Amino acid sequence: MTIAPSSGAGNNTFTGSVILNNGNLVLDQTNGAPLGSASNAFVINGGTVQGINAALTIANPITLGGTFSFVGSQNGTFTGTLGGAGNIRIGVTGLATFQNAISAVGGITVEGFGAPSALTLSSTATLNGTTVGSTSYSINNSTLTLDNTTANATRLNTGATMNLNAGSLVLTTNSAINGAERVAVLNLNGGNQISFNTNTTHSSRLTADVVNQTANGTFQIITNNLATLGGIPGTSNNNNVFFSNLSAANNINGVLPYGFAIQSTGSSNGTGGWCATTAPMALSP
Amino acid sequence: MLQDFFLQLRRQIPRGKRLNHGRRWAIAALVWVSGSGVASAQTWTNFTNSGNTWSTATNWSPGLPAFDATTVLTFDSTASNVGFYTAIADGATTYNVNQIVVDGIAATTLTNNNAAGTIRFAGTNPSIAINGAATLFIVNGTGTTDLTLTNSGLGIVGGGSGGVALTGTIGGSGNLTINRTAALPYYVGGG
Repeated sequence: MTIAPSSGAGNNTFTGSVILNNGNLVLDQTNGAPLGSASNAFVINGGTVQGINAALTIANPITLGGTFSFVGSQNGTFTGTLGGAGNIRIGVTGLATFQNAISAVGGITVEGFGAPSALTLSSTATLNGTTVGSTSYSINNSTLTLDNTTANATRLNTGATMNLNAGSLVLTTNSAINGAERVAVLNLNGGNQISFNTNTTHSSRLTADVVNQTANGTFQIITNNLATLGGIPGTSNNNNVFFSNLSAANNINGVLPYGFAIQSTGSSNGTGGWCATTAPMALSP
Repeated sequence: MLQDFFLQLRRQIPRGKRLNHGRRWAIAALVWVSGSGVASAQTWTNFTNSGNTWSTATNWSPGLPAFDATTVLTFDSTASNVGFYTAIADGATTYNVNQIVVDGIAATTLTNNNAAGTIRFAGTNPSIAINGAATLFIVNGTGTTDLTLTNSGLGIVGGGSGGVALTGTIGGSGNLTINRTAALPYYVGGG
């Protein structure tokens, strides 16, 4: 099912909801808005959504009654609210960006069909782009970026589980305020990466209450060259990862045996002893 | 209601010429059917891309559709007319339809070549059903609004492998519901 207003047609003008129960909905935004009025509700109870010929920007409010699967090869930016009860599954071979609050209750999975996907939770001028209702985040051979460049926000549900399955989690810091994210459980499977993309004045912090290792899973923490890895939290541009409730197996003489810390050239090691610069990772004092 | 009709009919016919019981029921049934809004179904017959206008009665079997809220238009291309074909809604009118059914294998294009014309889905549960391999294109014509929704909405249904592509302007007021049961093509258009 393709909705693709042609060059002479322009925007679709109908008012009403677009309800996707089943099937592959292909949207072409090259010449006009395929979903009609921007206030039209986009209800997704199943099926898949993809762009074609051009990147998609969807302003319509989205309500989930099932899984929202965004696939294909075109990037998608979703600027409207996203609520309801359902999962979000990003399978695009490109980038999906959610710029507004996600209040939907369900899990968010980023996974590629043949190629890695990328999902960015960002915001414009206000504190939005949060995912307070999400129960889990699964990053499968893909990337999830929490982008605070424009506005700082807590974007993850503190009670949720983060599953990194050869995944990459990126925290981008705002230039005026420190960022902080927390999840209840961090499950590691395969080789994973947590990246801090920060600036010279402010930092980000990631806290996981519980960390679990599956099938010899590992992770590395990396910063860009403007930042410090470790150091006193909340001070300057010191980025930190905290595990607040480590099991004995994860704390062997003060070392987390399957975590590595890497600093990019030009960055510096913190002096507070919160992280070491090389593997294995020393735990905080 | 039928009983009332019989009584009226009986009073207007001289006693000696009144119909027997069976004939009365037959006539009543005809009257009932003709006025009860039973769907009118027409099948497109012109796959030549010539003289292919909706207003031409011979392009439809068994004849020109009524174009009302019960009209079902079937586009059933067979192996003898493979390829693609176009059917042109040519009138300066609102073509009311309830269902468009595409059963065949040839790409089917519907377009509107009259600025004042539109295809309007009306009646109970309006739908476009794709039951075969053919993809249906409703393309941008010269009409201001190529496809008009009503409060009854429009459902895109069917388990055929063909797709539906709406490239004209969709106007009106109503929900557009996609409920295809075909396999999901992830990386290709249509579907």
